Amino acid sequence: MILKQIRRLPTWARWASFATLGILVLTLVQELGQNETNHLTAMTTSQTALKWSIPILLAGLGGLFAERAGIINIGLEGMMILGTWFGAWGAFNYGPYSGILIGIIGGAIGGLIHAIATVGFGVDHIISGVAINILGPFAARFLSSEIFTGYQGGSVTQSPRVESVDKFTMPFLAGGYDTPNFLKWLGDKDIPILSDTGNIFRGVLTQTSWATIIALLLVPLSAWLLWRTRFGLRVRISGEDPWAGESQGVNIYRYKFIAVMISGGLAGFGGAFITIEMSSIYQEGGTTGRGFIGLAALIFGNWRPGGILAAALLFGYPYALQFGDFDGFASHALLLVNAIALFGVTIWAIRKSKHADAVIAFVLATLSAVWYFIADTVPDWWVKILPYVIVIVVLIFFAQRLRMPAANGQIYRRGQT
Amino acid sequence: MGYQPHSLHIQGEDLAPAIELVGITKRFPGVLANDNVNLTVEEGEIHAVCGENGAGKSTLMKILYGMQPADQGTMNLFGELRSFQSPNEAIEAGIGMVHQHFMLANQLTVLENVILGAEPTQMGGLIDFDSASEHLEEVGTAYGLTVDPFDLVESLTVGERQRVEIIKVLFRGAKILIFDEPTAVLVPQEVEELFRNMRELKANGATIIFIDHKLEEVLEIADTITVLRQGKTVATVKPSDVSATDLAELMVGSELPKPQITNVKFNETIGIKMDNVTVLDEDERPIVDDVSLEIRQGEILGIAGVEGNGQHELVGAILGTQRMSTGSIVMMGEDISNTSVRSRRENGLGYIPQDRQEEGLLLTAPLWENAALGHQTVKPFSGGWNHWFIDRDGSRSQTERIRSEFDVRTPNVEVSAHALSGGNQQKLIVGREVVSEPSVLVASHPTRGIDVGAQASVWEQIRQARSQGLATLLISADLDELIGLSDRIVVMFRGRIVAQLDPSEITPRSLGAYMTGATNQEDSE
Amino acid sequence: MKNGSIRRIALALAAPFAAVVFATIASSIFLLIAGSNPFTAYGDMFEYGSRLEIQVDILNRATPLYISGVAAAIGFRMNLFNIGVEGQYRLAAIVAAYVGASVSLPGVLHVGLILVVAMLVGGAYSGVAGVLKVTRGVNEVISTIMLNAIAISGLIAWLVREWQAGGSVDATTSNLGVGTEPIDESGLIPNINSWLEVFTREIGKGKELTGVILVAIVVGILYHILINRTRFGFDLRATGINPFAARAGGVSDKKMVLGAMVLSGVVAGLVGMAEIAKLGRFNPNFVGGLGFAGIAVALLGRNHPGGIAIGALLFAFLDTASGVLQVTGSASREIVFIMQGIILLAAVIAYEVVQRFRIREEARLASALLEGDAQ
Repeated sequence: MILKQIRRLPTWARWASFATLGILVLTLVQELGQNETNHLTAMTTSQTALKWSIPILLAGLGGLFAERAGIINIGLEGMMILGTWFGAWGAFNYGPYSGILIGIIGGAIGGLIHAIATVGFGVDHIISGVAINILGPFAARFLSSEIFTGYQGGSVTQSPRVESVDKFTMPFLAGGYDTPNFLKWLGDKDIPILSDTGNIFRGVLTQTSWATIIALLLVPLSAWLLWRTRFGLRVRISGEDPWAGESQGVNIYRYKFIAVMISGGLAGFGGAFITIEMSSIYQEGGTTGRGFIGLAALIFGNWRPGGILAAALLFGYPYALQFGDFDGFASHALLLVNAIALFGVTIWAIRKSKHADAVIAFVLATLSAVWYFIADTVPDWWVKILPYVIVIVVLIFFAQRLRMPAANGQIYRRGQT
Repeated sequence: MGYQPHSLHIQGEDLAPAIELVGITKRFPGVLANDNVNLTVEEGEIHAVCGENGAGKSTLMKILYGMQPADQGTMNLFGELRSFQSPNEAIEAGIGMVHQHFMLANQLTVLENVILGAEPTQMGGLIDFDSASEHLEEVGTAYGLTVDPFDLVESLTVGERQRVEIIKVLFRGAKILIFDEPTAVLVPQEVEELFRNMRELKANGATIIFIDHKLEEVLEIADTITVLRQGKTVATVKPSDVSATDLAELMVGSELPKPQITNVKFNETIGIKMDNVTVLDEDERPIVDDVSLEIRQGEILGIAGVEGNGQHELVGAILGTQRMSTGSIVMMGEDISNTSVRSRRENGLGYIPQDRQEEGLLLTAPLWENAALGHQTVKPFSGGWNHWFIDRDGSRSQTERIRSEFDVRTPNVEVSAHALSGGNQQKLIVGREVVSEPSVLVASHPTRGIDVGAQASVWEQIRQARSQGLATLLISADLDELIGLSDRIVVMFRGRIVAQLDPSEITPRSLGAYMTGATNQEDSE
Repeated sequence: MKNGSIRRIALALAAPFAAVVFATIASSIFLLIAGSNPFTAYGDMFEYGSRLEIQVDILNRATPLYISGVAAAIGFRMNLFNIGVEGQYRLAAIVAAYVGASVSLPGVLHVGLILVVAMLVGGAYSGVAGVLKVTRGVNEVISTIMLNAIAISGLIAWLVREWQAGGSVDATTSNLGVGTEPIDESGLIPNINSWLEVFTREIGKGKELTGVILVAIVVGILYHILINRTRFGFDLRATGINPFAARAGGVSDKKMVLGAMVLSGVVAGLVGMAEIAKLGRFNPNFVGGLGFAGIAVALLGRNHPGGIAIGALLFAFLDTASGVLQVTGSASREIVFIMQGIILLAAVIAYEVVQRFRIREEARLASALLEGDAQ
């Protein structure tokens, strides 16, 4: 028993070493690159990256609950949209904390609809999800026209401004509550790598929204819930082999229903986060496909909470780089980072004798490197599509490698073994 | 052996039977699955319920276990009137079911599978894994059943999985255990192990209901036997009072059909020849390991083996759905090693899949489209320029032909495949494959899960096709079928051919020894 | 058997009918909550929708919706979800507009060239998702959504500046511009008012019935033939019903995925053609959302060529007729969005229920007809 738990530890160690390696690469590229930039490891970048990762993380965790229960939730985007609307409405009327809660409820309503269709009626999961993705924005549009148009500053496509939740700055490390600011001191020292690491952590620990902290705490909480509790075991059996669960007296419908509603609630949280913490306003189309990126994070994260967090950070980073990168140098430098990462994938693929992967990674790496060396800066449209390109590239290498719950996507009907 | 004389319908006042089912009736659309069935099981006995496929055994057990409600009838448990709305209630009442198709999640550990539904928890629904594993080991040692609670189920053998199934039931303190065709997935040696376990359980006071249709097994283990036929109880007997022949007659109402060994001269032309075929699994380990075989025209080659020893992958390699890492396959003189499934099928490869619903049929499509599947590129199913168009009339009349020649019972060829019974679905598949006059046929479990009549007709069709020069590869878990139909039998064990045998000289028992790797023989080829 | 087919048709219509009724009731409740009179609102919409010139608008709206629905349906028939019609048609439209404006050819050739370019671009772009799925196992829903984002916020945003009439503009200019160079008259599919005027005297208020409706009809007929009469269609449907059985039956799943994906994109390429014919160019305000609406229409029409047409007309009616609500003020025009959403969801559920019922019914009938035979 204890041995098994210890065997889990190296995973964390592995993540830590990956993170260290990542920081190392970012620093080296900055130090040795063609253009002068410190944006890659700037405090503001890590701060923004974390913020942009949260909706993706929440959507990914939403996907986790649904798919662990065997229900594919392609409707996360639609549920997220409901979250953005309800979050705005709640935050405008009752303050930001209630706004998040109401956003969660809004998303959960979307989850409920998905559960009714897929669990209750046995509709194909993707069809139901697609329908919800169409219903979500339609419903938000209708609600806006009925409600936001009546508010000062609101319209059919947007809400009035709403407030954000409180922020937290870590004492001593990031100087919160008038304590010394160790990481600032470290960052100002300009020691390669160490100062960069300091800046990155300072960004993460400075002015962090409580909503972000709660979202991050949901990662271990989800793991605990799914792998340590009775509820979690029953959710997982619903996704692995619902007929086995049924034969042991588990009410599979109930667990699928609850899991899909949790899924919708988490997506709704993600939506409310966008409204309340990021744009301070509900805007039509404000989710920009992040529900789907959450699904990609779920796949890349191998249907595990820690993996989803890592994927969310990876996918959130290029968004963050867009901000404050006025000269385009940082985005340009990122080409070299990508090239290095892809060369890394090439080596890994060669060692695993995955020849096709190696060739693809090598070609993409070379293209990225060549582009880096022949151009001084990258066009703005490239910066905009980068997050989506990265999602696709990541899936190219990882989509086939991972194992989803065995009965995921299957239509379960009670009594039909 | 195991037989104690006691009267059947008169009980002592203090000893109500463990289970008493009276007048159970259950209808499904178009089928009367249980028709006024009565069953009395005494406490502490092993009670066999036997009958052919489709006789209503499984339905009866599902009703007993609360998985389906009965339309009519009552159930008494230790003299008390009960009715279960869900398996949960049956479990609470001390009834446990050991399923034929293991109800285990492969990606979960043994412990997780066992405790599911009866998880010991601490505050907040937190599972107490420590006390759970302790309890599991207690139960295991008490009945001589050992498995590591922290193994993933996917790493276990078939026998071990069955043990997990039994532990699962005992873990909840079941006093009445239902074994649903437990021997179907086991080789004879594992059956003995199972029977030892069952006797142990009985000695510890458990009541066992044992579903089976293998007569020797029933006679060996049971204290009492109830026979079902076409949804009705036909008799309740003691094993000492009946012979296997009597039982067979009770089960089918007449002599049980058996595949007959016939000696036909086969052609010298080789239908299909495999040389050093190796297939690797996801982890790059050989799952089919250096297999060489040849089948002449007019010959049936049987492959025996416990499921999961590479038979399925070998079939995949022949069909073209599974990539070979080395080796070659030559069909009718042509190297097909690197050709597509389609070209293999067009060149005369027929295929009866092991699971008709999963690999053989388009359940929601009409029968004529199902008949075309696999043959849609050739006449009479398609026509026009380059066979680009489906010939709907041609397909329909061909399907009508299959329907009449192969006795597929259906109102017309427009109904969807869903609507047919398993036997008729299978006859349609056999028909569409045989009627296209293939030169090589791969038949994987061609009679699995179908009723006796359909089984006999499938055997007959395969034999007829053989006499017309078909080279057949037969894979079956039914050893009687394998011995009865094949001209030659090879045994697959861990991906290799470990023995080549003459069916006229072997018994299911000796075959079983090869299948488990207990006996070994160098491949004579 | 006659009785049977009437039954079948009744069953097929039961689901969408129930969905519309349900959606109407649900929307009425929403309207009542919002303080509007549902009867007045529906009455206004029907009155408005029955005017000839509005019906022309409805047909014009239904035309691209139908093509988009067929594009989505091609994939849906084999459980392949091309959610990328949105990006495919917009990318196809801008490239076709650019190419169309750079050449001058006689009428039919010019129109033909534009259509072919649009189809090629749509097919190539959806083909990317197909290749990713076939070679790398990337889920097509995610990849097509990502490709949508890449096309719309990346490629098109860039191309529309690059190909700006009168020379390319820099990203820093906030001026969105007029769009690509105009296409010569010869490249524009003419309106077919003259055809309509055979039946009725004249179409008022300067309305023009798009000639692209003929393209849509041809697409629908070809789709029907392809799916129901050809071997490709058989393979496609077989893969959709049971991919394992199809594979054992010699259908190459990879070829089918690629083929269906590309074909879906080819049809998607045509979605923007009505707008191109109307505007004569691609501009920054080019109509959006037709891809997603097409998915809804395909689901509503159960991927059936006729069903998609009904779905497209229904959605087009709601889109168009709701315009009157703003004028009369009897309700908010956004009520049609909620109606469309509910119709879609209710239809999807109703189809499932009817399908289950049908399977059970069929099994019952089949065994009833065989009563007496051994089961």
